[in-house]
Amino acid sequence: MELVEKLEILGAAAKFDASCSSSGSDRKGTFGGIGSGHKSGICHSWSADGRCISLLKVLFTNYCINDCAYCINRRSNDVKRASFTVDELVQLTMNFYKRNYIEGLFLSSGIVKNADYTMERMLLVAKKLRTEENFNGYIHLKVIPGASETLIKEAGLYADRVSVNIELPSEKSLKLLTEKSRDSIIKPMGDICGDIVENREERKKTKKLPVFAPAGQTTQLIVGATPETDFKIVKLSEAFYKKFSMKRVYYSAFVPVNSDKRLPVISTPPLDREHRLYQADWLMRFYGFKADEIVTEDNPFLSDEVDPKAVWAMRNMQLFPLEVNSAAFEMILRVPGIGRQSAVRIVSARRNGSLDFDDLKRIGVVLKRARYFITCKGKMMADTDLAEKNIFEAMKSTSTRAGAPDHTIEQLSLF
Amino acid sequence: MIFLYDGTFEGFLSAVFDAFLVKEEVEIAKKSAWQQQLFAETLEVETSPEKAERVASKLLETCGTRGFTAIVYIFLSEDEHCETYGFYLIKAALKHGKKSFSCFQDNKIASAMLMRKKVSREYDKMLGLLRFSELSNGIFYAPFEPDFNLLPLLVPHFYERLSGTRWMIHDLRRGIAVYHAGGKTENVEFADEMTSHLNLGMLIGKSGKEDAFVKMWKNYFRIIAIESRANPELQRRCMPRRYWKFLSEKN
Repeated sequence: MELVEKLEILGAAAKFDASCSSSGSDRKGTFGGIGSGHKSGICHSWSADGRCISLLKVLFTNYCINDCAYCINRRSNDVKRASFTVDELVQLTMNFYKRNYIEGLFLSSGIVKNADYTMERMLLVAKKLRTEENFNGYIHLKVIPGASETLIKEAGLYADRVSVNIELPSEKSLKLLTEKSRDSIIKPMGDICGDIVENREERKKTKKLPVFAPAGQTTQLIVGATPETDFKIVKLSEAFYKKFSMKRVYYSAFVPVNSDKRLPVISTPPLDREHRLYQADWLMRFYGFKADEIVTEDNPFLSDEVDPKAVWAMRNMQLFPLEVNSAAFEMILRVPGIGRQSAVRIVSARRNGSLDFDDLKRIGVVLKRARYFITCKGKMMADTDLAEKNIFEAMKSTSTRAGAPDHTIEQLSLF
Repeated sequence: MIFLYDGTFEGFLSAVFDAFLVKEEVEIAKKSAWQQQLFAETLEVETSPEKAERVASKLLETCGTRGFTAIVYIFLSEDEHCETYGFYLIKAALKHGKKSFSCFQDNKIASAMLMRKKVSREYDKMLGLLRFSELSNGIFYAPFEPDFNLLPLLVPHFYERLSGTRWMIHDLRRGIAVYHAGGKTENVEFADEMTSHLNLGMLIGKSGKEDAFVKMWKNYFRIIAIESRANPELQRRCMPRRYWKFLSEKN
């Protein structure tokens, strides 16, 4: 089979993996080598669905011994199958990279023979890139559930980031739709986490040791294929961030590709729900929110009308209005219409003198939202009507999914 | 009083040095962009590497790399007020320190920081959107037409990243280019003004391998999109149309 056809098959087979980021690693370039890391990641293109293309995201092979209900590559599907050779992948990565098409390689795979056999072959690619091609670009390796600890250890030495997909939010759903056990997924996550901590300790003694997965680990789950609530999902993510120090949890709106009576029938993927989950996720990672503040067991779904930050603020009106010239950074972060960047700017700008609404506008605050929750020098913005209905309408009209993928926020520099 | 300089960053810093102790209000402008005004008093600045160096190290010392970088970005915006506002910001920063960079209460500083932001935004985009193609002579060539003068910013990035290749980045709009080979970079001297704006890829021709990789990249770009999530508006917003010209996947 021609390489161009393989790439078509194995690229398409990988497109449902939501992870795109190339951030978190600042691996240095070497003289005469190719590649370097960029701490906040770099997007190289945007495909027709508006998602960014950062890494060459492919499967090693789409042959698979598993038969997971939602997966396009399951063994019972009659699809064209292909496998790369190690050299083909290495050459593709190097040549795409030299043309600045990509930030590096994201390599996942269907499972052939068994987990270890598959993982070993993926490792060969990473090893060859690093040791023979002098490649210092980004490598994200998917860990195959069930792969041995030794292989995972080796993966972390070549890769910038490793990940194991949790796939579905509960053990029950996993049992129903996949042939993977929850343990085979959670165990490698724990191993990776342990390896990272251990590596950090050892590097304190000998700096020469290579960094184990400098960009940490991530995971992803499918939203809307199974009945779990947003509450369940947000709590699960919080646990991943706390317990395993995950860098990211990705949410992937369920796109039906197989007809299977275990799966719901839907006409469009639940993109709005996915969007709200990303907003909730951002609140936990960058805005100091706890899962319980965002969504509760009694009211277990995020609002489809209003974003979770505004929902929280409207439920806690007793804490507002805040005086921007004196309020604590942590509280300013919680005002709808003030993003992280604006909050940072506000606290540094006010050291030069007090701020008024025009200044806030220049700083980048969305006053259409923020005006209901703040004062400047003790005064609210002129003509601000605090009627509940009014606030709700203002929040609603600024809460629609503009289509902007949340991950672009990560690319912005703070200043 | 208007200080006129030669258009280089060194020249600008020399102007800053000379203008610093002047009591009255000072504007700084490029000689080439200057249009004679009635009653305006002008002064031609001589570019001095020593003066420039002194201003640069003083800035680094008081404002850190971050502040210094902000000044560089403001300069590279080529905004008609970039020198005057940049000078104003430098003066404020040397007097009050780093916090001046976030003095959004001051109109001139806020405008200068907006220039910085615009340059930074395009720089971040271009880190990803610059495209190299291999020419028949083995050089990886990247032509582009940025809104702002990004070439000086991109060179260090690709110097580290593409150390193992010979490459050339060429700003067709401004007619300037940098060539890299074996760890050394140099500004490209063009035979004449016209050549400096020409896409050299077309003149020299591409390497035999080029078409195959372009084809694979285009295919990959097409198949990686999920049809049921199609969102062309979002695509355009993230990747503005004016950049498509040099993107093989959009042609």
